[in-house]
Amino acid sequence: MMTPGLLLSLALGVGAPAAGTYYADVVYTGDGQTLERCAVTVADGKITALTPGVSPKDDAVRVKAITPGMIDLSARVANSPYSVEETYEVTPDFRVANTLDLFDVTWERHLQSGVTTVMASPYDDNCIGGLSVVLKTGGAKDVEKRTVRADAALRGAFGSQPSSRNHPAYGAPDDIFSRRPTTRMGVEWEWRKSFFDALYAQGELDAGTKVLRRALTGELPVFAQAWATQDVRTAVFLVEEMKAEGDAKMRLIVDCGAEAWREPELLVRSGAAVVLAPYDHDGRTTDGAFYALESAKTLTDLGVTVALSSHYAAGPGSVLGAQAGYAMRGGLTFDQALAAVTINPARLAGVDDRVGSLAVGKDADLALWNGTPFELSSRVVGVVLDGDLVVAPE
Amino acid sequence: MNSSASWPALAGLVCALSLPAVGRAAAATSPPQDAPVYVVRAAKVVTRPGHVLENAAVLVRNGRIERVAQDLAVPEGAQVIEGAVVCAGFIDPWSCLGVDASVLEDRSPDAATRTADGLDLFTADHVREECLAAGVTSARVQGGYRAGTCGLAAFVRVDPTLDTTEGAVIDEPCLAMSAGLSIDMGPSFRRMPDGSFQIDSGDRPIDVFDRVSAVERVVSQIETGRQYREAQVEYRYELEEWQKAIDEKAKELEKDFKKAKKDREKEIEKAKEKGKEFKDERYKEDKKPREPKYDAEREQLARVAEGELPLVVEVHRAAELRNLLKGTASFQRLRLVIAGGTEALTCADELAERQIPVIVWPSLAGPNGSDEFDGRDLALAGNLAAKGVPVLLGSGGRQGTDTRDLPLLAALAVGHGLDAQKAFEALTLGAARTFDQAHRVGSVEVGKDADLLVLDAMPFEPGSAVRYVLTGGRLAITPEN
Amino acid sequence: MKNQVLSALSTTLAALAIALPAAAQNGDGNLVIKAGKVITNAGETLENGTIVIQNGRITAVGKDIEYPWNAQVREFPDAVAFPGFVEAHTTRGMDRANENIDVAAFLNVRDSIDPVNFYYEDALRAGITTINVQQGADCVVGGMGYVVKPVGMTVEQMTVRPNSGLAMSASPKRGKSRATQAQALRRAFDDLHRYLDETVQEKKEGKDYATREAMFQGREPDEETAKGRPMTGSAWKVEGLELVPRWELDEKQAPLLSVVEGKTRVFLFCGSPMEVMTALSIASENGFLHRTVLVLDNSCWKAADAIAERGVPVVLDPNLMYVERDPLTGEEQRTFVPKVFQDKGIEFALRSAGNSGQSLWYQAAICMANGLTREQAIAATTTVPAKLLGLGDRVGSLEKGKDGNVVLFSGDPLSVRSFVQNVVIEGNLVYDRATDTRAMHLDSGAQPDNTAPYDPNGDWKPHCCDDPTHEHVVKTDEGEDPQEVEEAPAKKHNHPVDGDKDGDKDKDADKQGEDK
Repeated sequence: MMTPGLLLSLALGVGAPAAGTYYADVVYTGDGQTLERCAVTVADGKITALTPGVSPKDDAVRVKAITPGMIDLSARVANSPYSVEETYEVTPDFRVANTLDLFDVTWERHLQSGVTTVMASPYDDNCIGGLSVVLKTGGAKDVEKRTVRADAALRGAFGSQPSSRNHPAYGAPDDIFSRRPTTRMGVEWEWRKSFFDALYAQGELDAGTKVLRRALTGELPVFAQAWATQDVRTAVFLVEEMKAEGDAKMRLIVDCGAEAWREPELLVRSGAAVVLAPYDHDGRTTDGAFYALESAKTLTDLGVTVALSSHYAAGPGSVLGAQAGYAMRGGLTFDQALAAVTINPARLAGVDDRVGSLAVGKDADLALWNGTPFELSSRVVGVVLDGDLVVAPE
Repeated sequence: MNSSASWPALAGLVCALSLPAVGRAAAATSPPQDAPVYVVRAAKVVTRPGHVLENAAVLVRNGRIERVAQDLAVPEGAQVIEGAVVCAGFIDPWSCLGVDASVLEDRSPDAATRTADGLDLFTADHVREECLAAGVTSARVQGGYRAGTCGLAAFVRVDPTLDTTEGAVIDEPCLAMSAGLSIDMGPSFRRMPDGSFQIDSGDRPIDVFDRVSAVERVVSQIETGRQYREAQVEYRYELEEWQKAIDEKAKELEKDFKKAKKDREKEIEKAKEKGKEFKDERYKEDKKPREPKYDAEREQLARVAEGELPLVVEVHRAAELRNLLKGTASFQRLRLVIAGGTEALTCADELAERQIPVIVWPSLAGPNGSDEFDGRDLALAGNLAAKGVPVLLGSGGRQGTDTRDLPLLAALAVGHGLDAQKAFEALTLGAARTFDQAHRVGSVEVGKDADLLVLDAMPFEPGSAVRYVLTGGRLAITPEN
Repeated sequence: MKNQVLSALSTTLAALAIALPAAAQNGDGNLVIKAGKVITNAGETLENGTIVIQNGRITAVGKDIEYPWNAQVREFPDAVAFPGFVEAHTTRGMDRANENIDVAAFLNVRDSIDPVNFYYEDALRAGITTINVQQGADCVVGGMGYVVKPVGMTVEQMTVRPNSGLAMSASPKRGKSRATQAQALRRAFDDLHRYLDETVQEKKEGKDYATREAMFQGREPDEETAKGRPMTGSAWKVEGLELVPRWELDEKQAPLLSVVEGKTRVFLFCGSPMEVMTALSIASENGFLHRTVLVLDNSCWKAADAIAERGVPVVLDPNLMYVERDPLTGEEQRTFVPKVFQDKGIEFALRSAGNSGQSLWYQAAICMANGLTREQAIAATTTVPAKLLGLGDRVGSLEKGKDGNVVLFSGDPLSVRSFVQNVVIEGNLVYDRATDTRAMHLDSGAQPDNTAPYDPNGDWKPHCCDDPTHEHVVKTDEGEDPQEVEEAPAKKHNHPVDGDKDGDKDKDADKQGEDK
């Protein structure tokens, strides 16, 4: 039985805080190195040394493998309609960080499965929902303290979800959901209008427009949910249209992208990256998209940056580590799969200076495995977060 | 000193006489032989309602009360518990603690459905802890309260460590039914403005015809049970008679066999000579009487009709109550118990005369909306008791957690006029007696299960908090936890 | 000299095992398999091993072993050979799994199994070669199950073992509560008891009556030999059942009698720990505890002590992780169910989940990740279910005498990167991933010709306007010349995107995206 991690961390967190040494038969640093019989030394919450070829002391924490703590950009930790502003469909300046409930079980689930950093985004009921935040999945119950990067991306969605709750007004409008958009094209219209308006806005700019301008310059990446082919196309064409229209340099990250494998050239052409949804074994998934097993490989081989995600990490076969396994099943090499759950998402979110690989000076976020990482026959048995052993191997 | 010295002897004698009665097959729960031995000492030991032993002690061993005396010697290795008052654990006679939700809400149980089959002993253990901490050590739990016939109740020990039905269920002490509740009327239909019908899955308010038929249903079921038993008894007699006659006939046939054989051979010869086909003479005998078809439900109804099993009927309104009393008057052996009885004061005289117990639910909830009772009067228990009606106090059987609040509800009733002594009896021996469990629980007497409370003051007096609780001889609650 | 050459030649031939032109692929059950690695699941793992199958049974397993010169040989140098997985219990693969009436012991899944059901195709894809098909849990007493292999066009062709066990459920059927379900289950056996009593009684009375009639008529009573068998129940018996010929018994009651006599296996479904208690008590009260296999929901681990006490084997729910929220603290507590059973010494088999990904290899892998050894995990999907189904001497490992069911994996069977490449059932090659069009489709979205209905994206081509180098030509009806369409002049934008607030001099005349 797994005991609640915090209790155990209290028991074992003796001695200097946020410090310790962890041994593994193999350490995968996430930037291409594979270190055998390696010790990872941690102090003050940062990695201070990686020492291969050593034997562990008797009472040391020792596991089969260590990887960097994994990063999930589409972790769905704010997965309720309460985390998005319902009265408007476009709310670019609203911050999901203000709505996060750190007592929700989803945080603990992610942490237990080895995910140490996540991006929290507004729920996708809005066309443009607001600003996402990157935070650690454990530590103090304080959003500020956990934040790795605030305002990390502008979140929105294409496809049917933003329009699903709206309806045409039958007779007279009877609630706030009697409004546009009610279709996919309406959703796209909202996007285009928002960005065009932002492009041509005059005088004193409101907060939302300022955020949209930052997205247009590429300062703020646009993280848009798009499951089906037509939604991926819509996203890419919007970026290209804004480029043609106003010389914009939008950076697009497609979330879910289940049918991105159909038109990977579009992604290559636009320089977009993809955060793939959790694999659906029977192919047909949300919004009718068909998710091919070889999606990650197809995109990676064409040079598209691919990250993986697990949404709410329920169950041993759905956690982020398992997604990396399925990506390997679909043809990725081990190193590519490792990158897709560590350094790739770190770079996309702009936090690779602190997390995403095991290097001296980076945050001490480690995932401790009881076997070969990403195989379903092994799992994360321990987690070090900011130097603290928050989940202890039994 | 003399009288007090002889008291324990007398008390001991009385206790010895009230040893476990034989009869009902009770599921045994005996803790292992190496369970700790306790001596519970107190300034006041309430052995039975109205009887207090000063400065006495209770010896508990192997789950039972072994001794109650004023000069008890503490055996070696025994753990001593000191307190101000010791009394028997409270019993909730109208509870649904631990009944699986599907069973509680079931609309289709019958007279043979057992609540014991529908217990969930694995979840909500923290509620059981709270019930013990409040002083409730056993309960009569009932499922199917929405149905006309609710099924057989289970008398359970409240103990979170018991995980098997064999361990937790002490007995199946009664059958329950309800009459005239709107909650058993099932879904109703609403006509929408556009002419379509919408099913309203809430309960339909009861109308006059339903009320009449509800009581008739209860009475006719009892009658069915009585007839079933009658038919069984008749059958036995008829069978005996028939068997005797047949045996005699068989003897006769044996005697006459040789002759019959010869006669037959002669007949065969004759027939051959005449060229005719020989036919045997037809044999006739009385048909064996047919056994009445076994019916599990009717078996239980028969037990109710014959008084072997008490019948609890939840009924609130005066009209149904009157009709029920009238309809059941002819069943001489029926042991009726009323649950609810919001308007029972109107029939108090008859209830007192027939000594029909009423399980009162002292509730702060007020009138029940769709049934529009005239009000849940907290003074009901006191008023009924004053008229001589045997009163019990229960937590209503709607929500498992309400059992924990029973002592509070009882205190409410006491505050509104119920005599404290009667309240205490209702919670202990009265409930035990009504449901035939007095041989095991309900008082602090030798031989009974060690369900004991150690309180700071007499029950229903200010400051009367529960300090220690023993259930079946196991120390379950201490001031520390 | 000639002899030497000849003998050398024949040895070489045997050693080289020249593959003769293959007979029909699905044919006679004779096959020799050579694989880069052979995991026998009986202790040995062989590099470059050989499996010889004749008439559907394995006759030899080893390295460098002999086999008939004219045997069909298939070589899989890069594959790992493994025994086929055994599915201990499934309700898929047939028409609706439940009947309406409570006690339907006379039903049999052979009347319901659908050989072309997708489940069998998917079973092959996942390497499952033996499947116990049982009725579902929405019953009180259900019908008989069958053990089948996932190949064949008729149930007879698919059958491995008929009448594998009777389905029962302690978990409430739709419309029942737990209490009324337990009541109905007990009643089924009470009714059986009563029925047998009555039937015997009738027979006895009939006999007595016949005796009296004969005596009256002056004949010797007929010496009727009892055509029945005495009852052999271990918990309760009805004396005198030998008077009743078995074929005269009601066909609805006969299967239950068989259960009480311990002649039939029972698969008893339990949806909660309390239902386990009910199930165990009903099974022991009626004498079939020793033939019972409990099919459990994942909450039933809480009743593991009671199960261990009685030594009853179980089949576990495919959802292996039990999650419970503490009602007071809100924290989630996780229990890995197979570990509980392993630690308490209870025999357990695993089941595959309803989707294509979480098949038996997956369940075994998850067990390995969560504290079971590799051997224990593999056993729970091979030898243990084989034993539970009474097929311990036929399936579950690659050993002489067992069925020739071999699965060829592209790597380790429990690795997420491995695929089932080929499946051999009873010596016939029945699955080849290279020709599996659904697998191709799932892998890459490919739509092989003539394999799928109309694909709306199938003949999509990029719209010509998306490619800036493409000449914009509008196609017209046949006969007309293509015409050039005049395009509006490219717009010039004077607003740099990075927020030049002062640059509002050269506004565009026609802005796009008007206000609503």
